[in-house]
Amino acid sequence: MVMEVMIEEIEMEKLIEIKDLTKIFSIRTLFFKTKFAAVEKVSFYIKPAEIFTLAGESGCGKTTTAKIILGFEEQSEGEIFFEKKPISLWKRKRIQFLQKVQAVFQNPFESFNPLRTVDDIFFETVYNYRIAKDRNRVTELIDDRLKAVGLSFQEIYGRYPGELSGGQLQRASIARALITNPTLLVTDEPVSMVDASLRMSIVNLFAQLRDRMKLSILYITHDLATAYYLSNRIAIMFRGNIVEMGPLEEVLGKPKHPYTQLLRDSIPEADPRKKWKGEIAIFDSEYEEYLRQGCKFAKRCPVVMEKCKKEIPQEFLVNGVLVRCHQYGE
Amino acid sequence: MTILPENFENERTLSPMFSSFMKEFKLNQLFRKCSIRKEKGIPVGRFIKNYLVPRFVQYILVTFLGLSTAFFLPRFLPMDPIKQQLSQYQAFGVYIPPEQLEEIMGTLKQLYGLEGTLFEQYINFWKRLFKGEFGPSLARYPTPVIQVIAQSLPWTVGLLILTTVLSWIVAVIAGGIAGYYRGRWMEILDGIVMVVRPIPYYIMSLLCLILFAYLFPIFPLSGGIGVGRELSLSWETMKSIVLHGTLPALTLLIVGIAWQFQSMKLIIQGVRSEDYVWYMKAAGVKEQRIVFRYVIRNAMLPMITQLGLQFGTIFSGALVTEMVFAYPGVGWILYDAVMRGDYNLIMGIMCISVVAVTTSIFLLDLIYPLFDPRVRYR
Amino acid sequence: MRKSKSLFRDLTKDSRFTIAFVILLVLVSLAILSCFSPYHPQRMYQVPRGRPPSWTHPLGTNWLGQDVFWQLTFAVKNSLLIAIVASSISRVIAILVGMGAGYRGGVIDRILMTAGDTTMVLPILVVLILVSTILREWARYLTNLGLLLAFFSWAWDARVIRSQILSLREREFTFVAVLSGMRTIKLVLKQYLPHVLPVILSTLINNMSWAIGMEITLAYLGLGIDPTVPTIGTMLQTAIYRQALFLRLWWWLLTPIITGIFLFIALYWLSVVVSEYLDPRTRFQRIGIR
Repeated sequence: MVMEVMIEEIEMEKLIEIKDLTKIFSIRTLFFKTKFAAVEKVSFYIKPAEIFTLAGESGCGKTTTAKIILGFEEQSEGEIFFEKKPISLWKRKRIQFLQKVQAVFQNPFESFNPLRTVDDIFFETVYNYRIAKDRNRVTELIDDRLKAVGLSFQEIYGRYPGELSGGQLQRASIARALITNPTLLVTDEPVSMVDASLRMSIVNLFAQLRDRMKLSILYITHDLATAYYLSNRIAIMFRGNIVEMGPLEEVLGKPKHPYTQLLRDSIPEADPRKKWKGEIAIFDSEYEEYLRQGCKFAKRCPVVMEKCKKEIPQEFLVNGVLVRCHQYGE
Repeated sequence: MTILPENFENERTLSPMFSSFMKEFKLNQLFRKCSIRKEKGIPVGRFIKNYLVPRFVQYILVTFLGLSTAFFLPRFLPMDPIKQQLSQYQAFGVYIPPEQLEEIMGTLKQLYGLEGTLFEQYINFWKRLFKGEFGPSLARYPTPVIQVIAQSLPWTVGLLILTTVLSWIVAVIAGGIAGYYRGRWMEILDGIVMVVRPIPYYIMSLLCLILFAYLFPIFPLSGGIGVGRELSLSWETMKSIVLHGTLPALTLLIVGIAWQFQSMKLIIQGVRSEDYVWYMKAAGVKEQRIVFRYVIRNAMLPMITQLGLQFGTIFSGALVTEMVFAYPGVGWILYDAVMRGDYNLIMGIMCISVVAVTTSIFLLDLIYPLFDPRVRYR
Repeated sequence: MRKSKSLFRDLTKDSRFTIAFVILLVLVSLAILSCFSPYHPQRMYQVPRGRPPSWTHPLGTNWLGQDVFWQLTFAVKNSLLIAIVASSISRVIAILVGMGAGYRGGVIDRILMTAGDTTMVLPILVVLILVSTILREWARYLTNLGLLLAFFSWAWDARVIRSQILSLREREFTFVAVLSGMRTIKLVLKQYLPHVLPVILSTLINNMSWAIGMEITLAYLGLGIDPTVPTIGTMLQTAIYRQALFLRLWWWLLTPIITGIFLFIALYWLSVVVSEYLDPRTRFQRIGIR
């Protein structure tokens, strides 16, 4: 009874829900096709005013998921519901969708057109979303957002991306994304190309946005440290599958999937007494790992069973955490 | 290729269109035999499918389009060649009674291939094309066009092949060295090329003509062989051919080398700054070896592609050169045809040129994998 | 304004640019000078014929009784006009096609590229001859010749632009621009055009050079424009046709040849300097020199 009520509550609150998302890429020449699934049966949801982390190593499908959510790629299978409505409905109202869902990308230097000034894209955003018309109003608005990230209009105006530092540019990116007052911010490794001191201030900014402005953030990263600091819930991805997902404390504190355990163990601790031990597995090429039949982690798994090589494991609920591993099958 | 684990399943699937085609012609068995060779060396079957066939299709397509353009172009232009011809006759003050006019128009229509509806004309066009029939040459009536072209084609082809291959080789080597090393000699060469390159074929051939045939009459002024000589394999004839052909060949060589030298130098400069060159230097490989075995070899690939793209231009350039020197190749025939209003011959030359250029490009595509191993293994 | 001044100063550091620029300046002033010509360009026998260069006739007179110098001014003007018409039209086509094909992709892309490839592969000379023969009347006008030439030269540039657009399309600022609510056409024009313009500039110059070359060749065949209209091509053709060589009127023959050569060299050097300036690799070399 309690479970049902809980489920209902969660249902009502979902800002964005992704069900069984699959994206198959085919490398096609005139006569042949090689297919592999970059994203396979990925399901998760994000609540309002929540930071949800999608973590995993490079090339595991996180960015592809983000692109599909934003509408830059088409999914092969699966559904996405934003504010309870399917994304096909939102496709027709693209401007409205993009007003509510914005993004920040990894490379601050690439996010801006090197041949145009930085403020150009700010003005574009304001005009295209019809937020303000009067030039003074517009400048005020932009300045307001920039101040929220620690910059000012004077610093940005008339400057080209090459004249600003990475930190300033990344903060400007975030400010631009906030202009439309979105409810969901998709951030793809926002702090990985920023230096350590700035990293913390941006991370703090995200926390503030969540608490004060009720903004939800899809935080994609490979850096577990910031994820630990920031997120409410976290999902771990490996080669296109979500292998473990749940509340932060449970997943990172008591990891159940062998991969999460591996990740947790590989975070270096600045303690000379704790040394790195154990075997180092030599990995096969990513590509052929993607094409495996059974569990994709089988070759690296310390507790692999025969079953693992043949069947893809289902998702099992253990202590409020979803795990995709045969261990928890029975 | 990585060593695959046992449970790796090959997810290659044939696209549905091709797989049914294969089954139709029982080609799947043939293909299976070809793919056995995969383990040994070049996967022939895959290579043929992935590389050859698309190129071939493109070749046929572009040739088809080009020839169709040759067909449609005159028909969509507002001028009627028959009326033009007739008005030319009448301009001489000739009076033609109406019945004879009809007859003449009928004959002209046939000559020009303008009978029937557009569709019928199109079909006829292709029928005659396959037979190699372009009708009679209007200026050298009744010699068939195809014969006229056949007589002149060997001159052009010989000139072209010789100069293209030679200029390419020289340019690749010279450009390679010039692009890689610095120094006085290179800068002088560069300067010369800078002045020579922009000069179009026509002007260059004029210059050569004036310089070497007029001011310093070393070479004969025109023709392919001395006047009145018969084609034979005697030493005299050979000498005459070479003598007459030197100037056109020289023109083509100079222009060709200048163009390709410049491109090669640019490419080499690009290749030179690649990481693997630094790496080899650090590894102590001898500079000369680096230049020849690695840098030049890698730069040859885009050079070959460029060569293919330039075929149209080179061909046209050769035609112009022939015109200036009255060298009895296709170019000179074309000039003559233009001067005498020989419509059929012009059409014939156009069709032959289209086929010649596209075929050369296709042949080049066939040779390319010999140079670029990446294409073989795709 | 400041930027263009420093740009100019930068370019003049390369001696090739200064020489080319000076040559072009001279030629353009010649073209402008044609407006003040005391003689009508197409009429013949206006002055005593066959005179060598002298004070009254700086480049002598030809056998048709025309002053060679003033003929030259018209020739330069007309040739440049043809070149500009041909290359600008073909750039515009190339931009439209390249951007459309690059951003849209799919079927449109394939069709456009195949059409372009076909124009590249056809031996230009032969087709031009064919068209000029049939359209003798129409091809007599300068602008129409320019159009014809433009038809054959858009293809390569369209490919270059298309490949640039294809790579720009994958860059992150494109995604950001889409997120900023930009529509496709506006995006392509505002965001991509600045990237594409430099290449276009350099190929424009090359194209002009090619156009003049083609015009000269066509004039030699007696096709193309009305032979009495002076261009570099027609001057050359008339000189040869009227046996300038054998009449020993070498100034008549050499003037168009040398002017042509200077024009070609100037245009070529200009294009080389521009493309080297824009090439990011050589930028480093220049920074080192500075």
